[in-house]
Parts: sequence; structure tokens; C-alpha cells
Amino acid sequence: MAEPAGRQLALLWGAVATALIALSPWAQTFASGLWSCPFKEFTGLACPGCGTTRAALALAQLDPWHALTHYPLPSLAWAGFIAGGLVVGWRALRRLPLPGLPRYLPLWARFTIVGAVLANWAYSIATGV
Amino acid sequence: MAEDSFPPEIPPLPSASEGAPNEGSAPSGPQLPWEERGNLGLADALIETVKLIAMAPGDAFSRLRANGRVIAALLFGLLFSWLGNFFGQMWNLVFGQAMRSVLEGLEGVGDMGGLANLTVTDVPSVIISMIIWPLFFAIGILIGSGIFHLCLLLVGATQNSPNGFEGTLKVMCYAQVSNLLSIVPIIGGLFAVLASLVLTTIGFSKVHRTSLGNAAVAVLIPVALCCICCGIVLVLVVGGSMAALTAGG
Repeated sequence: MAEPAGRQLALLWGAVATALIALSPWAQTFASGLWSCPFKEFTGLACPGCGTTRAALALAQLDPWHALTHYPLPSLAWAGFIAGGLVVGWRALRRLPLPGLPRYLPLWARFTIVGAVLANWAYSIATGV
Repeated sequence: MAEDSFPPEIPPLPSASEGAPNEGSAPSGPQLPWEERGNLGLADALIETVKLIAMAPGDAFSRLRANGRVIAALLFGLLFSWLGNFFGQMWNLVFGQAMRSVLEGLEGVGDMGGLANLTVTDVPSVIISMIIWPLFFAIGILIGSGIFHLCLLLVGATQNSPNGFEGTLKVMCYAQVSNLLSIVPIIGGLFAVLASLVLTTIGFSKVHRTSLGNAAVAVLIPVALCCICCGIVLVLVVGGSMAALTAGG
């Protein structure tokens, strides 16, 4: 019988998180293949996703303070993604119970997420990120 | 010959009232041919799955179950995304210089001239890209699925879902079939992206048992955010091309 999907997904998440950490010394090389944000180049304003790559680069260079103060939401998202992957990957390897994802988000949670994205966007524009 | 009887030989779908299968449980009803490749044979299962997704995507995605076959879906997605990358790189090798001269016409518009550097590649870069592609696919598909799943949660599309995140990831993997359109030079990549959006929308509506509208909104949230940027690039590239053609004429 196949492994439960939850365990496969947890192992995949853990492997991806580990790979991202392992690749972090070459993050600048990979990022150099990306072009700068066209929206910002054209309008002078940050787009909602601006700072995601730079947050990853700052974290890869072990500079969490710079990452958090300049790109708060992307930094938290990257850190959560990596930490979450390591935790569930480890738990899957040890065959410990895995946390499940909710199938429904209460209204307050949805507003919080949308609000966080909008607040981060406003912060990016205000700080000229 | 399977082609003659396709798609009528597809068995009828199970109804939604059959209940959600548990993780690792024996699936009920028909599955995707790719998930039955042990019985069908690798090549037949692959071809039948591609045909089914291309010709009857709703039927195809209705067959996805929370049956734990995540690795099979990932391998399928990897194969087609790898092919898409291969074709994209090939066309870049062939047409890269021509595109570069067009994009260099954008030097005066912000930093858009920098796009020209992305259009030219060489054979060693292509080979390296093909080798490390599986790693980037794994990273990209997991992050992409996570973003789409969050958007599905935001619009309440997963409330009745029997498949959860596994369903979202599988739809993303099987929608990679759209990369076959990258075989068309220059504009094939754009068609592949559009086809992928359509397949993903249909797929989410089926695996999460939600309306097409809900699924479309969930798909379009990240796309809209991204398209603010991509739309500008597209306008500039098309505008630059027209300007270059006009100047050349």
C-alpha cells in the first residue's frame, strides 16, 4: 500500500526546505537570473510581491534583521515555510503524527491574511522598497 | 485501438455522495490512466492521460482521489514541465538573438532593456538547466501549490473538499500537460500558461467540489498580482516589437 499522502507531502516539504537551505550560498547566483519588478520600474511604486526575492536573499545571507525590517511579510513567509518544512519533514521521518491543514478558514483569519498582504504592500510603498 | 473508442470507453464517474476516501484507502470509481500504469503499461497510461486531460479535463480531474499517489503525480508533472523547459530553451537558442535585438529597443524604458539579457542562452546553460530542473520543479510546485491552496482557503473553496492539499498539488502536477504547447515557437509558452490556468481552474473545481467561479477567483488572485508585472512586460515587448518593425519598415 502507498504511504499516506500526508507523510509523502511532509517528506517533500522537508526535502524542499532542506534543499533551499543547502542552495542558500548560491542564492545570489540564482537571483541574478531574475529581472527587477516591471511594475516598480514603470510606476516607481512597489507591487504587492515586491521584496520576496530580496527577503530570501537577506535570509540566505543570515541577515534576518535586514529581511524583517525591509520585507516583513515575505521574510515571515519564507521563515515559516523553511521552519515548517523542517519540522514536518522531521516528524514524517520519525513517523510521528502530522498536523493537518484546515479545510475552512474563519472570516477573521481571511481578513487577517488579506490585511497582512495589504499592510505589507503599503509598508513597501512607504519605505520605497 | 484506444484512439477510436476514446473517450467513450471512460467509465462513468462516481457521484459526489460516495463520500470522501480516506488517506491511503482503496479508491472507488475510475482513476486517471497514469495512476493505473501498472495495468495499462507506461506509454499507454501516459498517452491516455494526456488525451483525457486535453479532451475532457473535467472528467480527468474528477478521477483524482486522496489515494496517496503523490509521487506518481509529481513524476507526471516533472516530465511535462521538463519538456516545456526543454522546448523553451531550444527556442531561446534559435530565436534568442532576434528577441534580444527587439528588447534592446526598450533600453530607454526604465530597466526594461535588461530583459534582453534573459533571451540569449548557450548550450552549456541549457544542459545545466535541464539537469537541475527536477530540483526547481519540486521547489516551484510545492510553493505554487501552497499559494493556490491558500487562495482556495481564502475564497472558501475547500470547505467540501475530500482531497485537501493533496488535491491541489495533484491538479498542479497534472496541469503541467499544458507545457506541451511550448513546442510552438515564441508564443507557445504564453499559450501553455493560459492553458495551465484553464486546466487548474477546472481541476480545482472538481477535486475540491466547488463552483468554477470560486475556483477561477482562487486561481486569478495570485495571477492578478503577478499579471500587474507580467502585463507591463507584455505591453512593452509587444510595443517594442511593433516599434522595431515600424522602424525597420
